[in-house]
Amino acid sequence: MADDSEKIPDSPGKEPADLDTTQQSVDQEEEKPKDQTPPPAEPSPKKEKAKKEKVKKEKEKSPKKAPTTRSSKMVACRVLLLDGTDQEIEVEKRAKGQVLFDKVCEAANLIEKDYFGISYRDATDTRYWLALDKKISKQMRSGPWVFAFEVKFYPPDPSQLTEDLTRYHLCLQVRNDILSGKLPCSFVTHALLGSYTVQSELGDYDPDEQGVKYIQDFRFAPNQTNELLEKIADLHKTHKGQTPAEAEMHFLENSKKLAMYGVDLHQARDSELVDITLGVCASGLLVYREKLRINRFAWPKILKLSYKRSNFYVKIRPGEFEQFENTIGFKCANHRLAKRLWKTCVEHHTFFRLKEPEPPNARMPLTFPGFGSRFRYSGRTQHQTRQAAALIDRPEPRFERAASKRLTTRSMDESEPYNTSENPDQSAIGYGHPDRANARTPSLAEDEAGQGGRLRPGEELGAPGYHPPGGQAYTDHVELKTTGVNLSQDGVAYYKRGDSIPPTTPKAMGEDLDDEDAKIKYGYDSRYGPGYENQDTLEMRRKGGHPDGYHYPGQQPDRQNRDLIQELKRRQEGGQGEGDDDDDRYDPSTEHLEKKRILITTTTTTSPAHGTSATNSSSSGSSRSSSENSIQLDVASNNLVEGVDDLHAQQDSITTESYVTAEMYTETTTTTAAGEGAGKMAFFHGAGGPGGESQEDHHGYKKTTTTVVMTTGDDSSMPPTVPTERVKYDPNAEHTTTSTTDVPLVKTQSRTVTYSSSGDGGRDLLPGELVSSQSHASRSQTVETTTYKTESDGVVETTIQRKITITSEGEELDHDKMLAEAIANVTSEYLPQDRTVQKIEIKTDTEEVGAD
Amino acid sequence: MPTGKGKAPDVFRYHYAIVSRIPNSFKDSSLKQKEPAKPIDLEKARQQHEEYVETLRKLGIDVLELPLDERHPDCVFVEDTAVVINGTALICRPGASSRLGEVAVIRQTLRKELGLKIVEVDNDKATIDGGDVLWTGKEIVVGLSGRTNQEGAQAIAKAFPEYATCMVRVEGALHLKSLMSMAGPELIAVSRSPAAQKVLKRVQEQVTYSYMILTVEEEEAANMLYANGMRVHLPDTTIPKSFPIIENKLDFQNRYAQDISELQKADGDLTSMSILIQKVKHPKNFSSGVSDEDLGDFPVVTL
Repeated sequence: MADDSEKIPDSPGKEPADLDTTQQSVDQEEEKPKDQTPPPAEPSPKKEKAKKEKVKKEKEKSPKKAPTTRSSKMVACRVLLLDGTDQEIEVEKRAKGQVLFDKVCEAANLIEKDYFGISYRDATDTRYWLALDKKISKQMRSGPWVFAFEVKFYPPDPSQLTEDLTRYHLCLQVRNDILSGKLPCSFVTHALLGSYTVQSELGDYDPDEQGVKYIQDFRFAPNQTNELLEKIADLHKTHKGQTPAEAEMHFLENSKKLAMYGVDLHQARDSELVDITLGVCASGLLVYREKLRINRFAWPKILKLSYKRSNFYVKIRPGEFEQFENTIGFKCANHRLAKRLWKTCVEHHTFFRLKEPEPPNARMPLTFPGFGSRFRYSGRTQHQTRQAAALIDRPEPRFERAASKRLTTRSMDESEPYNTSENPDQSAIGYGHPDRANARTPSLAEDEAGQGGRLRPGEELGAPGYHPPGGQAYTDHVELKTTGVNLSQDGVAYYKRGDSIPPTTPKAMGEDLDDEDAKIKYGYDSRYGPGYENQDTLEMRRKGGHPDGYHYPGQQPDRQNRDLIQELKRRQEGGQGEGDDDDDRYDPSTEHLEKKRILITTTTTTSPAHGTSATNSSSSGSSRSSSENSIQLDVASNNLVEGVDDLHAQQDSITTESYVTAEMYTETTTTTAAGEGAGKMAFFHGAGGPGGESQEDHHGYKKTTTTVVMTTGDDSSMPPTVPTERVKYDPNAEHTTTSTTDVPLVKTQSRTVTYSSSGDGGRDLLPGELVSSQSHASRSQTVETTTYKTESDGVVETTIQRKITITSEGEELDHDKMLAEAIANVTSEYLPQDRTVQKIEIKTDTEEVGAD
Repeated sequence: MPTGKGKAPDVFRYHYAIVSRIPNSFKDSSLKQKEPAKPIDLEKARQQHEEYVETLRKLGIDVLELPLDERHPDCVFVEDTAVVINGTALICRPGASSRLGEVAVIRQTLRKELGLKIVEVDNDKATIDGGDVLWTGKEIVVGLSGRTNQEGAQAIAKAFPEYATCMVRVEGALHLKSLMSMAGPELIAVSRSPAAQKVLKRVQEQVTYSYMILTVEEEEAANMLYANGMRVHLPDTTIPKSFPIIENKLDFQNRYAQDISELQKADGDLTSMSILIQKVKHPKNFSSGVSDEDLGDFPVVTL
């Protein structure tokens, strides 16, 4: 089965468009008109210019002064432009990034704006891109609204840009990159590029000039010498007659060939914790050790990109003589940086490789239309922006060029942070700032330390799940163990020093460029797509008999959850939690955010017409720094149900602190068939589990469901940092709320409500064999279906567990509604036939990061 | 719309070459991977070297001949002492300690005579033999051999940041360029020998751009010198099996057969005996063979 499903993602035209979400597409529709027509409130360019001047003057007095809120609704944003000047732009507090972006582009008179973006920096000076389809306020959690207007996607061939103005801005960006060290050059190249800059800004060489005085104020290179200025002046003489636009074209024609042109650098470590740098560019992903490029994955060579926690995974298309795909793992300093890297890859791939962004329709799993979203690049692709640019019908706009001089003063003093204090991953390879890299918050450092060891797959192999006595199992490690298992079975190789590197065909950029090559999965395996699910569901229905012993669980958990949800809402409103999955900034020291997850699990048990069997199922957990609202519905029925997927992925999605659940399906794609062994390993045999076990005699069938709550810790054998308490709910009992104790940086609350049809506290846990599992993830929600088979006394019983995890991080989600829909979905879609609900479990975890 | 696209500069257009005459000590004291069956005939070696210099001149290259240096028996193999690309000369730290002293005169010549920008290796642990540095015209491949280590490779990458630099392990040969060399733009000559093929595979895994491969028979036949549109290769007396291949595949007009059999006894090859230098007074572009096609856009695809 796995073999079949493996092929699906590779075959053209079959990949389900799983990706954008309804929510996102709505946003797009809202925003799109603004693309074309600026909002009415927008100031005229003239006015803007006047304002700009004014700001400049103000800045001279107090350059560091951050813009302040002028009215309750309008917020002043300070945007650092590529020429080194500041622009102050007012936007509504609730405005989306697009509004600000459009205003900046408008002021700059840029039409070919898709190459650009708005960035902001966090407390550690790490650069993030403002998501245009999301509210600015949700992305800027703390600190003043200070942004930079920058090139986000460097066109590989600048000569194909339509307007000189666009090229001019690209030039400014490249000059900044040179000065910051991002784009390293030798002396000779500095001289050549500098000479074009001078020609562009000063025009022809004036023979009356003496020496290099006339260019002394320019900044050409990070450590420029008089010798360089002399060389530049010398070369300047030879550019006589070139117009500014021509000089810029020459500048870019050279720049584009530089090895580091347009490469976005991210610090990471390989499996041996050796520092490496990952570079994302138009052509793919590059891996460097210091200055040397040690590997290269052109987009066509990449099958899937994903991240989990602070790990980033690249699944490589097998080479000619290889049987298995390789997955290579890298470790970032923390989860946020892993996600940032992943997003950068997704965006670059979409922009440069696809004709159009993945369409926003038809992608949600059948069961949950309209829920959540998963991050995708939703702007125009290069292809689209070129098409649009071809229609530009205006005379070349006139503009002034005078940047380098200003850059001189600015980059040396007040704009220092912008030009020179790049954070480690922005700075040039080999100029790494180890100090900075280490200057993480304690919790993150701990996190790092804890996870460091996990990168070695071997350690996890075969290690049984740890079930400490006392009712709590610690599952982080289950997931990791499964990872380990998968690593071996899947041929996952972590990047290692001295490893033989999976071949990247040198021709890869030019060859192999059939359609299917473009289909990189972003942490989401298409075989989990709607089509598949459909089939499974249908099959399940076909095979189902009549409802038998069916307990409708909806009411109870629903009510329970409403309470939970309301409580959560109250709490959420109390905090300033903002942002959502994709824009979540994890910065414990300055931020206060809440994350919520709702987890609904349904377990359906099926057994043949006679006999007794048992199943076990269900694992859920709350990770140390995340939180969950979870509902689990365990449903038992007499159905043979098929599902495809694997359990590991599901567990991953629950147990990790990864807020985007879509990221989890990393190494598991080939394992479904590979093994039951893997499944078994992955399955959590919570023999000593807490009160989540039940045994039930139902119309002659004996069903056993076990639920184990797993709490993630940070190290595979360590207890969790945040204790999670589990409360079992049965029809006769009340749910309870438990607040966890404070931990240094993360405050978590979790609550579990369990409904169990048996009402029996004592359950038996029998080992189950994983038949299949399936999972769908969207931004705020994960739906997982797992099927186990258990055999006891020759009788085979099948249990289906369906788990829905709703996660939000300070996002305004109608948990109530989502919960109700989730329950309805689970019960109606999955319970029409003779299935019985064995257990419903609702689990709520709330977490406040940095609350103290 | 202005276009900055001129004719792509020929990165293998060389104006100068540095060579070094053969000292007497070369006969007995030069480093050899294995002792030759017959001892080096010094006179013959010198004669072959002179022919080699003549050949370079035929290619239109100004040859600077350094006087022989008896203290350095291997000084004839100047390639190992410096890597010159794009007007920048990285002064190597040869992996054989006996050769460390060779670089001084080279450094001086490159700076004073040719006015190149000199870059030094700033890591004492680094060793680099120029024979391990394959400049393809678009990127740099560094062979990790007995003479060049990873620190050396880093130094090369740092000295030439304009170019993607990758490294490959080299076994069974003195240098990377003992196994392969540029036989033209985007054309790598490599022999059929297992050692060479193994390294070639690694190279293909690592490089950014695509290259055509010219497969020859004898290992030593894979080392050619390509400059100014012409190739210098070994004669059929040395490479009887490969010679017909080369004759067949390469333009007859643009090649010279050059016998260096006596120098080969000390592991010499055609590229090892010169440092080729491009010297453009007023460049319009930095030296790069990367073409628009190389950077080219992907054919965009629709999902």
